[in-house]
Amino acid sequence: MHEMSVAMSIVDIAVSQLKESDAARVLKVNVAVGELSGVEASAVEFCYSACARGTAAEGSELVIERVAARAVCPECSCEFHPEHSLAICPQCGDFGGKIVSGEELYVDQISVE
Amino acid sequence: MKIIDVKKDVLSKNDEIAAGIRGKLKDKGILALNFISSPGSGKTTLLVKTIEDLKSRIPIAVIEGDQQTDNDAKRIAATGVPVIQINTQSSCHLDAAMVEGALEKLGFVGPGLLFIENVGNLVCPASYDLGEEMKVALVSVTEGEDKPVKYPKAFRSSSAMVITKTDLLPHLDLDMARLLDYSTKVNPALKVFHLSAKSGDGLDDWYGFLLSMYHSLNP
Repeated sequence: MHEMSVAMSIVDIAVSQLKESDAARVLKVNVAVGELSGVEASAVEFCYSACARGTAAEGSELVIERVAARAVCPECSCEFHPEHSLAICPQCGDFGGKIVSGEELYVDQISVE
Repeated sequence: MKIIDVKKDVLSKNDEIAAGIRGKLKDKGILALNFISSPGSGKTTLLVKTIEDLKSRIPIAVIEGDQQTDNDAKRIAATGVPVIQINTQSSCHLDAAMVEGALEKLGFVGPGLLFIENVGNLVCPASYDLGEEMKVALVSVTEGEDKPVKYPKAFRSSSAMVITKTDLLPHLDLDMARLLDYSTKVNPALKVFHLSAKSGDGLDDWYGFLLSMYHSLNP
């Protein structure tokens, strides 16, 4: 399951960042998940606490910041909300819409103590 | 409580490992291709045929990814080339760490061709860099015209699309023009091959492509 490995990577990043600080444990992890990242945010939330168990992030809160998808059509310059990662322009039907946001998948910040 | 700004890509560790693999393969003159497709598109059949026809000219090794069984690895092993099976268990894709471990076991010194057969799935494998030179997406003629638009990331992250099982075309209503139109719209740079590993049609073009890439890596 894709989301399990994503959740494990989030825990790994949080714990390695913690080690670089003088804090002892992770309280909260903020993660940006784009609408088109291919990752189901609710499934990551489901896996996270199990992945954090036994680490310095055990019991920490996972906050998922969902990033909306936006695309710009190279033909007519219209900005639109693509239904999926194939950004089809709703005005002129062009398939080459450039996705400007929505593919994010990164650990934004962590709260530690 | 203290807040630490991280801004680190979740897949960054995978990408770092993949970059390491890519560097090592290049140094050894190994051309690695990562094959992705739906289950049953004919990845293993194409690899077996390709190995049989090219192994006397170029050393070849294979990494097989499946959730369970070593059925595919056995088919590859029967051709006599080195093969490592990775069973991903619950995971739906290969990742760079799995490939790094498999490469150590494989002991393939190169130069040569390395075929990585990913888990049959057009979704997750598209997101994971394995250190390959390119991804190759397979779509069989029985799968209909719209795979490229249903799974655009797989076809956008690939450099080549191989349309397989073309010997079955007389029995099907596949609209080939539409399939090609969709794939071009999703990825205009996609290099397209039509072939049948069973009849042999189209294999020469495919082999020509592999050999020219291999020779440009190992002039």
